[in-house]
Amino acid sequence: MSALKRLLVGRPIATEEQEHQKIPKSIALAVFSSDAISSTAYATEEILFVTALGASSLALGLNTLVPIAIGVAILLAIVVTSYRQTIFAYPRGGGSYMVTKENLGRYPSLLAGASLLIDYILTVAVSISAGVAAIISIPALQGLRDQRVLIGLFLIAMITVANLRGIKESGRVFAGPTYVYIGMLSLLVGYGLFREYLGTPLEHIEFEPGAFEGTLASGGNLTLFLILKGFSSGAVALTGVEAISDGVPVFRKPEAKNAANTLVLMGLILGSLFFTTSWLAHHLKPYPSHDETVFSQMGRAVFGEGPLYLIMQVATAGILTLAANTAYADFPRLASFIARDGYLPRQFANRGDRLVFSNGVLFLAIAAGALLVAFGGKTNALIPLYAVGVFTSFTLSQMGIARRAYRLRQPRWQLNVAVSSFGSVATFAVLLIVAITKFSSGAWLPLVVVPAFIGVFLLINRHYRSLRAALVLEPGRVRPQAVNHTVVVLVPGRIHFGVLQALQYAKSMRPTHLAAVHVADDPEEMEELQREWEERGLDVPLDAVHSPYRDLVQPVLEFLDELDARWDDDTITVLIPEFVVKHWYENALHNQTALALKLALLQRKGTVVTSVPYHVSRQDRRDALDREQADEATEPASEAPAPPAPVGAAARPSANGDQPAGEDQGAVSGTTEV
Amino acid sequence: MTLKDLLKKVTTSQDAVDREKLLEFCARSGVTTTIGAMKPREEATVAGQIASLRVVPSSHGSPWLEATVQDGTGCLVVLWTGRRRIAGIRPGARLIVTGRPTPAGHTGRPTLYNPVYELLG
Repeated sequence: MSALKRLLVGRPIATEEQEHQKIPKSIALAVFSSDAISSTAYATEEILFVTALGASSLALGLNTLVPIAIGVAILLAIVVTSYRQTIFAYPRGGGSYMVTKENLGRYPSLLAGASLLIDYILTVAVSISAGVAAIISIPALQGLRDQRVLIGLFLIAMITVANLRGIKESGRVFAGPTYVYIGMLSLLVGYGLFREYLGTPLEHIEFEPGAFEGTLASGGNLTLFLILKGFSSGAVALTGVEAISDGVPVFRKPEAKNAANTLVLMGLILGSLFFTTSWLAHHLKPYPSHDETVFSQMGRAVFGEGPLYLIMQVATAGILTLAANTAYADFPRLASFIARDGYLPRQFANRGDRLVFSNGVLFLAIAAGALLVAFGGKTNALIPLYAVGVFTSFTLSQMGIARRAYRLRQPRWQLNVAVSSFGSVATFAVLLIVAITKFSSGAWLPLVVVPAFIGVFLLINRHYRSLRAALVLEPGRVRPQAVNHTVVVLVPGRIHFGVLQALQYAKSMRPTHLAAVHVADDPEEMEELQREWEERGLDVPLDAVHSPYRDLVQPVLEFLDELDARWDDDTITVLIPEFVVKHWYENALHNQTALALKLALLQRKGTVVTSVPYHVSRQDRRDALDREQADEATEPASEAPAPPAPVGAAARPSANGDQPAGEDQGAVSGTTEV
Repeated sequence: MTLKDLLKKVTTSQDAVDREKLLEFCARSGVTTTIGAMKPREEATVAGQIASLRVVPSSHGSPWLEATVQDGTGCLVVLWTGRRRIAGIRPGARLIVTGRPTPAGHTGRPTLYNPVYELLG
């Protein structure tokens, strides 16, 4: 088991080995923007899914693409301008959760935290399924179309293992696919638009009614509602913009300035790519389908099915996988912040042996995998949820920055407050648009899920706080009283060496009361035990407890209750002699009643449970067997006067010299019974 | 059996069922009082079941046999000095004892020393 873990995850990393690596802008751009830029791969398609689905014809839907793209680009500009403020205000990294916590207080920060946690899970699910869609769009790989869930789960598993190993700062891996993707997309729109306007125009994509997933009735109008709904879908292009502001410390000096410039550059790339692809789509007239992505249709129309097309598809899948990977960096870190504040289980704040927040990574993987399976690998349905979360955290974070600027009144604070407030209002407006237009198609879900998360946060926090309050050492609080100590040694049906050891140990505790207890479900076994107890001269009282239902746990509990009732202030220690076998599978040969008893006793007040282990090595067992066989062989010959020493013990001196004058030296040697 | 009875049957703990049965059994055995109602130094005849049986080894002086007897109302220790074993006295056995209990002493419970006893089937 541990060998398998080593193989997958690698050897542990000591705390001192942690690296604080600074990365240049060119790599930082790739690291932080894969999430944002990758959303171009599905944002255009999402707009078409909505407008072409709702409107009666695809043509009407295509006509909305460019206006919506302009709207999204303006929104992007606003958010980027506003987030530059965040970078300068929080040069040590300011996620929405931290910014909101410091400036707006507890409940808004929990709202931001819950929205973001959900978002990161959705980022993984949405990006992975979009990546899978890019792969299975390749005509040569059509056969894989029914396996999209499996491929998605495989990708999630790969990213999870990589993140358990810890690749957080290995930025060079990121740079490749991100830049290839940017390059291929530029080439696509550059060449496509060139042909469209200056060369021989490209042929329009042939419409396949079978693969189209919309309504085909003619006539009807594209209402403002539908356009806004399409805009809500396009707004997912903004997801991931906040990533740079979270990671400012990783930049080279001057960190804030470099990060801010990178943010602007990313905004420009993202905005222009999104705008131009929408423009090209308007010309090429792709149609939304689950079988082939809009991008793949456009790529085939522009490049044909040659290597350029294949490179584009692979790069698309690559950048989307990397986008999922950024969530793997962000989710565990955010969860650890929230856990440190006492709103999530502490385990999320612990670093694993590879210095990553392993529990957060695993939780994210399981949650995203479950979503992928639940939605059959077609996660369009999740995109409204996603947008609600993104814009909630945008709004809160910018509100926090505006409040901070107003509070600190640094030079030019009026401008800063204005920029952040405007950004906050704009994203809030988008939030409302998304929530209203997409309410029926899933945006109501966050209204349920986010408060549920916050409710869980508060319950967890209450638990931790009440526990801390109950355990606090106040000066006036009395010390624990000295107690009567009752020690009870659990005795199985036979006396073996482990029992003797446990009895010795019990005596060494010098208890007020000491008893050995045997649960008697077999009267003959009990009488045999009592006789042997007497013969061995064991000087501890032996209790036999009635067990009407042949159960171990309940009679012991009742017996302890009875003891408790006899004396005040009792602490009862229950000693359980236990064999420790060498191999885990040997446990299957021993009944695990001790385990059930331990669990039950853990719940009992004033009770300490101690396992007294008795290690039996393989050599011990082999010797004992040899001895027994030798005894059997010599027994008929030397029947009448028992020899003083055991016969076959010459091979190895046995370690059982503590028995008081054992007269009866029969076949059972008492100490080696297993 | 009505639904109410059935519900009662599955929701009552086995513990409570056993207790009830034992109380009933003891009441039918010609006793003068219950263990819970016994008073120190007043002769009484009670019935009960041995919950646990302790053999105290002779290294403590002379051996004795100590039975914890319950009837569902309380707990009584019945102690026979000088004995390690008495036929029929075993965990789970039911018996009637007559004697004057001492107040809770070193056994921690009201105790009858060497009482007259009668094993019940």
